Amino acid sequence: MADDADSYEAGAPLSDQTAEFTGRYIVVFADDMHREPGAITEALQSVAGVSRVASTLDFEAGALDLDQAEAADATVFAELGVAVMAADPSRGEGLAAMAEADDRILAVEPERILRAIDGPLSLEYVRGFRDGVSGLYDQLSGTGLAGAELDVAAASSFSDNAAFTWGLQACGAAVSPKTAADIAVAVLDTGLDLKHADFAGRPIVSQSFVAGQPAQDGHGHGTHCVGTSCGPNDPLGPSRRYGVATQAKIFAGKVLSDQGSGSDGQILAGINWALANRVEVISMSLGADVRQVSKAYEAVGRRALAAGTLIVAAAGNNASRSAGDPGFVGMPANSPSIMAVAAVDSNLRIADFSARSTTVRGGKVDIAGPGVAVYSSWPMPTRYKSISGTSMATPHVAGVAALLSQATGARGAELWAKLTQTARPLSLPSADVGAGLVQAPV
Amino acid sequence: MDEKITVTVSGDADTVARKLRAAGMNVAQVLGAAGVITGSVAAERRASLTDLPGVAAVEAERTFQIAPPDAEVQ
Repeated sequence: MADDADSYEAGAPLSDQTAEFTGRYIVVFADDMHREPGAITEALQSVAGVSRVASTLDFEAGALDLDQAEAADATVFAELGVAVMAADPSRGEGLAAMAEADDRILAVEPERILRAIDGPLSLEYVRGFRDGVSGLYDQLSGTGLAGAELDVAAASSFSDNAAFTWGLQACGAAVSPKTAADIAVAVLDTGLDLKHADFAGRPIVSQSFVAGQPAQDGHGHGTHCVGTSCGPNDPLGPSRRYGVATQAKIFAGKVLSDQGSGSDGQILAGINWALANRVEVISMSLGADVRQVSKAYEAVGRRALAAGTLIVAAAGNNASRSAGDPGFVGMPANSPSIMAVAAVDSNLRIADFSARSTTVRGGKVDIAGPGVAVYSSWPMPTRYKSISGTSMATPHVAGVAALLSQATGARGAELWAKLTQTARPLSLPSADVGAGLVQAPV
Repeated sequence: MDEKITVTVSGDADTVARKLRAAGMNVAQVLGAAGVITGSVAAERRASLTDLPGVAAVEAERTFQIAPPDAEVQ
């Protein structure tokens, strides 16, 4: 694994990394370069010495001719200010050294294998590439190339500290200026410990859909999930901060009993309640190990998106990767209209239990969140607890969705798109982590 | 023998609920915002519900179970 080598400044060693790379290199050009037609091609020719350069500028509407791109030594994505070129590792290293002395080039990095790439450039490949590079480009241009800051932004190992859980650091919530004030998040689970000191004074609406049991959490799972998605900025513990959307309005719906079970009738009643209250985000850390897509959840997810409500659900814990079983995304996360959330650990590796995409339409993982050794609230008197699961990753995504909704005004399908577009690409198969690690707005 | 079912509706849920009751379903909840009706029906009548106007799907109710509070993975 090369988890500690997510990006390279010009001049950084590039060798010994070929195993999981494509053999091509990505060259990122300076901010002003992409506005001048021909400037990138010229820089590439003078620095890298390549002669055959295909550029998106040469084709109508930026649509690359695939045959020409394949025949070229380098392909320039002029609108992005980047180029992809073929080079053996020693040449790539030399290129990086030369680029260091040339202020037209910001960075050179080996192209990673993120998706299956066969033959010429496919639209999907280019799209994935564009998303990955634009994130890198934003980092570089935003930090003025400060190496230390870049390393922080691209850190791939985290741990809880006195101020924040590792999950809040990894998804950027620790440094996000957003709080999700005026955004409503419904957590449909085992309820919430309404007497927990960390939630005193918060706007909370609670409702039970379990006959004979109040919304008060008699299990713990619900209190943990509400804590991760909506916990406060300054827990009374004293404790490090563990909540993403610190000022969101909380709708705690009890759809699972204190014994941890719930029926479609209870869960759908909870969704209906959340929709009637026009919440922006519904978080469901629940699922059944069923491959088949439910027509009811699919229709409800679609209606929710149309009404401006995003539903996120746990992909499932049915994998046992260390034993060779990657599992599968269960119901209801396997609905195309419901966002399926996988779990990664503090080294941004896929969690052993985190379910993988299936070939069922909609049965794919859409995004990943922190889901191993997640510290959050637990019913009194225990107060706090660390547990693992895609159940713990899901409220990270729900909380970030609330922050993003506040930051951009996006709801429903637009909010879904913003979440996946701003996710941090990981060097893991998209079948495992979808668009990557969810990221809070900065 | 009654089966618990979840009916996905396309159209006005209250109107569909009336038709479902007339066809023998014991309607427990009409979830208008979600467009879903829950309840139960005699097993031999279940198939006939599928053909009613405004009924998009009839599915057997499922139950979900999370891990106990002391489990490491939840």
